[in-house]
Amino acid sequence: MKNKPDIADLLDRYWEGETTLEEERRLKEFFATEPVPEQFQQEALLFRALRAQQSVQMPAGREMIVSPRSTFRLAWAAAASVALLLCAGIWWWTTRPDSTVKAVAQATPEHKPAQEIIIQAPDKPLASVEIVPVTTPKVAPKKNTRPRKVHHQPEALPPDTYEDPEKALEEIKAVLALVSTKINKSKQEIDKGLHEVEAVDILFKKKKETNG
Amino acid sequence: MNWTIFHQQIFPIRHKLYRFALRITGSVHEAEDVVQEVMERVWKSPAEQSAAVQNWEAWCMTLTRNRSLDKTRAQTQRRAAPIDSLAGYSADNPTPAQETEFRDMADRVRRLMQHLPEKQRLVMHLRDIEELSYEEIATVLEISLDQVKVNLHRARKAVREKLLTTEITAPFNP
Repeated sequence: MKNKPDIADLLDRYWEGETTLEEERRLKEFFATEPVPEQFQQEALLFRALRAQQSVQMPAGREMIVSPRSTFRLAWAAAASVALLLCAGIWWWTTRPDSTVKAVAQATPEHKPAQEIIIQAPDKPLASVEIVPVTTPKVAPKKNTRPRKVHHQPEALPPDTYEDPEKALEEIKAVLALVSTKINKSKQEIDKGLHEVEAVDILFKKKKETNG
Repeated sequence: MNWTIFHQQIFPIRHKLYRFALRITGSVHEAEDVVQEVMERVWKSPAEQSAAVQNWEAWCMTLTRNRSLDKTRAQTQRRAAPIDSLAGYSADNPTPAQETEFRDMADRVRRLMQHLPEKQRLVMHLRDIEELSYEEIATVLEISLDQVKVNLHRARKAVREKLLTTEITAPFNP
């Protein structure tokens, strides 16, 4: 709390433009909270009016011209695109007529006629995809997954590309592992962006509540 | 413009920009338009321009000043802002009579400031309402430090003289 001489001195310096910002804040605080002596009525009016003007805000509803929605939509669009590409890729891989998988089947007559390929439905993480020949006893399907089976007729298969079926399988696994890595990386980026957007959204809601 | 920078440094000063635009244009609607235009311009600013900005607040205040002056100069007659738009004050548990009285007096002070010459008005606003340093005011208004000090001194002196001649109808205590 300031006494009268202090306030008088500060005011003199204020009118001369010699006060610091801190001193000017103290004056505003004093006139806002203390009983004002008779001789400072005009000054009180000024400082309270200045303080009042500091609280003027832009009317609600006209505050935002850019919205995080555009970023949000972009993130969702990217996620949807990745998912679509993934589905299209899997569909193409399993249905194309000259697939390496079919060639593998053809190259292993001992597997005829029961050769089939099982593509595991995506388990978490999202892009973890595995191909397992049923006839290979070492690799079993995971629990709680719904295998999707694609049957191929050996007599309709085109000529070989791989002599060794194990090698062909390894090649397929390698390709799909690469795709899986890329998709997981993209997903992480999208999740990170969405997390930031959600944080911003929370801040906006708090601001709205405060203003409201 | 990076969304993080926009959210952390630009969005929080929107009210400050609005008050500054309001001080210059004297019109609520035009002040709102100015702030939106400034924010839109900042948001769409190219990356290389954003990277060159050292002080976002000063830059936005300068944009606001320029845009507001453009609008003001385009008008043949300035419209006055409604009293309510600039009062913005509410004392602790005021009676309706006290609140009305304060709004009346606050509006009188606002009018005193509003009738100052342009430079004095803007310097006093930036110092006494937005609490900018002399250096920041010089940057925003593109004038020298000496001009800032001279204009501030003249503005306060003029306001004080007018206040002394203003009749205070009732004691002004919280």
